[in-house]
Amino acid sequence: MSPPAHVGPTMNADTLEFEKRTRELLEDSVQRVDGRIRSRLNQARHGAIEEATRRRRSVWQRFTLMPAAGAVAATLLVAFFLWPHSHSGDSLTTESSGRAGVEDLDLLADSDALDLVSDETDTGQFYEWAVDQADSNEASSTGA
Amino acid sequence: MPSASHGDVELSDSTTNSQSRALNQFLVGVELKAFKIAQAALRHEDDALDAVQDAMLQLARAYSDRPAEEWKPLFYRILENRIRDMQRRRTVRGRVISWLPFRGNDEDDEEQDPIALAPSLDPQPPRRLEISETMEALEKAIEALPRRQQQVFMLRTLEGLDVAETATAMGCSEGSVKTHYFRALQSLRAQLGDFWT
Repeated sequence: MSPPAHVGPTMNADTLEFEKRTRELLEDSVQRVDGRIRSRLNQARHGAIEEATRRRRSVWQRFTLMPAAGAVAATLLVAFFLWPHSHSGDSLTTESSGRAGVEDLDLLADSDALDLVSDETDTGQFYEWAVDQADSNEASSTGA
Repeated sequence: MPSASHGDVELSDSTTNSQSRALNQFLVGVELKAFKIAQAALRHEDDALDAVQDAMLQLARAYSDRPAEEWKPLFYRILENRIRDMQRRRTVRGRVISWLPFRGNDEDDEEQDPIALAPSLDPQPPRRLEISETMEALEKAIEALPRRQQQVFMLRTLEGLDVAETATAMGCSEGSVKTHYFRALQSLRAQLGDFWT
């Protein structure tokens, strides 16, 4: 597309001058904006900055809370897996007591033994019988 | 580790503060010009203020993390969209009102605010009066431009955006910006010839 016939050096110079003058006038009109408008713009700006700050803080909190939550979860996981080992770790002393406990349970569950303990007369007869048996065995072995 | 987390908070606070300062500085630099651009397009102070306020909020919400050098074309793109939305809404409302049988003679209220058009009571020296008249003529001529020409002219002349930035802000090609700008200049020169001589 060829340029219009009237476009030439003078036109360009005039255009530049016109642009310069309009720019100056518009900038002047900006400076003349009244206090009410300036105040409203000031409030709008503060609102926008608060919004941006709030948004950034929430993003930061999300990023800082994420590792903390991860650390808590990892701690719980480790604690869960280490808990049984910690019981067996110090159990050289507790193992025997644990075994004794199991034997006590067997004794307690044995009803015959309980009957024997509860009946004192039978218990005495049993011991007398046992001594007699031992003596007779000894006599027969020496007499032979 | 309390000290580390405290350090993180301090780091985030200082980052946030410096970004807030940068955003504040940017908005201080553009708010008055943006208002004049919106006012030329909408011809209504409060609507222009609303448009600028929305553009500020939208920039802060969506683009404040972007590099500061991207803010200006983005801000004016948002403002341009907001102005277009308001103009469309106004057109629809105007059509609806024109269909109402009981409408009064207040259709042009939004076009020309009588308070804004009322002459100032402040005494003005002759030179100041001359500038005011020229400025008023210029503003009227700018308001009479087709919307795209008007926006391109204001962004290029008042805000000082280059062709590429203006194209980004307007959502059009650089060629289109040059065409609109040239036509705007021609139109304004034709209208304002008497005031410039």
